[in-house]
Amino acid sequence: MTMRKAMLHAIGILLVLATTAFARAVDVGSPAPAFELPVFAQKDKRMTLAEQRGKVVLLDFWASWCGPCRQSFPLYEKLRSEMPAADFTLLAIDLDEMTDGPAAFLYEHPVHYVSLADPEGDVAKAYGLRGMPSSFVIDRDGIVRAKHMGFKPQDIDELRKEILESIGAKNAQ
Amino acid sequence: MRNRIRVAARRAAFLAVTGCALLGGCATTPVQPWERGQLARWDMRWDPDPLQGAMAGHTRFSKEGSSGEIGAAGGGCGCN
Amino acid sequence: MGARPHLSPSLAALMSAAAALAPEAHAQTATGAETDSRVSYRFNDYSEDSLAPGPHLGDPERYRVLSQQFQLATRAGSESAIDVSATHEVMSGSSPWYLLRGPDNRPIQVMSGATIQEHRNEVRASWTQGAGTSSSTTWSASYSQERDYRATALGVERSVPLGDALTLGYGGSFSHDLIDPFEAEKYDRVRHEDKNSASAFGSLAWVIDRASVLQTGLQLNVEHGYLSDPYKLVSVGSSLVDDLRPDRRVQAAWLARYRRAFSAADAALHVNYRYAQDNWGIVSHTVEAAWFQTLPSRWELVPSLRYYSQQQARFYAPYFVDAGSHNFYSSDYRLGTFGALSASFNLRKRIGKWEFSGGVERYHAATDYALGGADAVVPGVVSYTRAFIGLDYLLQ
Repeated sequence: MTMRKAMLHAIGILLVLATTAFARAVDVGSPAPAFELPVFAQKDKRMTLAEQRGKVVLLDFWASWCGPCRQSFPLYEKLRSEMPAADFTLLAIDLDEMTDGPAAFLYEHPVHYVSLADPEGDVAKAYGLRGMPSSFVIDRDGIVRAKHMGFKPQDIDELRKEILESIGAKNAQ
Repeated sequence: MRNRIRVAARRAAFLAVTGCALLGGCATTPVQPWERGQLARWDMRWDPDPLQGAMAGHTRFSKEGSSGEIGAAGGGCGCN
Repeated sequence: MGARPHLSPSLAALMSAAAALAPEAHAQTATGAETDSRVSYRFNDYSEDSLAPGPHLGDPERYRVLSQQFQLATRAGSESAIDVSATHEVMSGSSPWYLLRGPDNRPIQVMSGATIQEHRNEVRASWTQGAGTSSSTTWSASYSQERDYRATALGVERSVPLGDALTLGYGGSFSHDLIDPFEAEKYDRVRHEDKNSASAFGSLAWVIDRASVLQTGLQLNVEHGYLSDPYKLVSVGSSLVDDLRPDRRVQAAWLARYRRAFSAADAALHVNYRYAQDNWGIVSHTVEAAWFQTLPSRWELVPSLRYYSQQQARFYAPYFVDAGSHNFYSSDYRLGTFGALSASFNLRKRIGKWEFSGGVERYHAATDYALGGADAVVPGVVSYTRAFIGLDYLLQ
């Protein structure tokens, strides 16, 4: 193989890596990818993102093994209770591969919002998650308005601001 | 001069391929953030019980000739 | 009363805790480090076997150490963590002093007749910046004190991600030790000596797949100053001289650690290997394997095995026929050729926010356990039993 071919091969590999190594990122301003998932521990009940159209959605990707999630749950519950139910929904997506971890977690951190189960990680991949946990604020038209990676207690203030902005914003059309 | 460029370019190609191998492995699929549940287990840590690791390491380190046991922790001591 | 370990333990502490490297980086890269916040207590009982049967002088009952450790580890703010610990040890028993060549060429182990109890206190503190993120820096300091020995050490280590699957760890530490051997006048020992040690390490941790990780690292330690043992003597010809070792020691080590989760069995396997070589001629291999088994009702069982082998320092011998061409002499078994096998079994049980733990370790060293064998038996190698109980309270 000539030196030039080797170089081209190397560049080719790098390009392939660059595009596949990173899951497709979902940017602010783009439509939130649609999904349909079963409710955790309720096999027959399913929910879709489309059902929430018209409300502002806080979408939270979590897992029982994720440390910061322990802090986020009670704070999200409090945030949820502050918001008008007619204008806002909090949807959590659990990415655990097995069920006993999240079952114990939900028992220790009870909340009144629904967790959907995505053990295969398909929705996580569609949303291009770069870290755990990750949350997205989606407006009434299904457009991503904000995204957060990781969780610190201070994030709640920023999330509250973003949600209230989206609730107050007029529809695009 | 041309030879030097060739050699340098060959080296760069080699580094690029090696580099991509390092950055997650060309042959292996990268582990996604949501797939790290098993890695987060307490028993998957390098040192799940640091206090015990420190005591065990400190003990052995004062009875053997090689210092710096994995996970050892302790102070200067009159170990005999 | 006692012999000095070869590297300042406080330094060893810092650099090998540092060599614990990029602590939980593999899960951290995506998740953010989970810093346990807890208060812990441990009680350890270390008890050496009596001297092996054979000619000896002095008390054959060897060392016994009872130690207590207290630790507080907690998050401090959203991205910092602190860790403070204190250790208190009470040591008693006799230890090898020197060897005499007996009439039938068998070594006679002469023991120090120490029956006095000694105390050692140590405090350690560390502060981690960036705890909960993928890059972190940890600063640590420790101070240890006992009647004849004081050691102060400082260290820093850093962990940074290189891409999704790799984490780089590196750091260094420094220690300054002071030795004031007691009964120095009576036994004509050195009066006041000191030693400086420095170490550096670098490591790479690789997330192989969702259930396994591998870490490999290099470590370099340099010690300079008084490295001999002021409490040991050596037979040279028909006289007894002070243990005399070079005033510089350089050691390089390579280590590899592998962790693999078996989720179906709810267990994990640990395998560690370490190779070390120094300029005194000591070469060592360490292999350890442990199995972490989680059982119903929050029980955890951890059996483990360890094998250690070292080749002797160039200037080690049970006794020296004459001074010859030797510049340095030591008959400290810890510089001799020997191997050691140890097995331990630990248990842990969680009830609410409390964790109860306990375990036993049995360690047995012998000259013929060494890889590559040995020319002659190294007298005085030690075997011991160590047991511990522990109590932890989780703060969050």
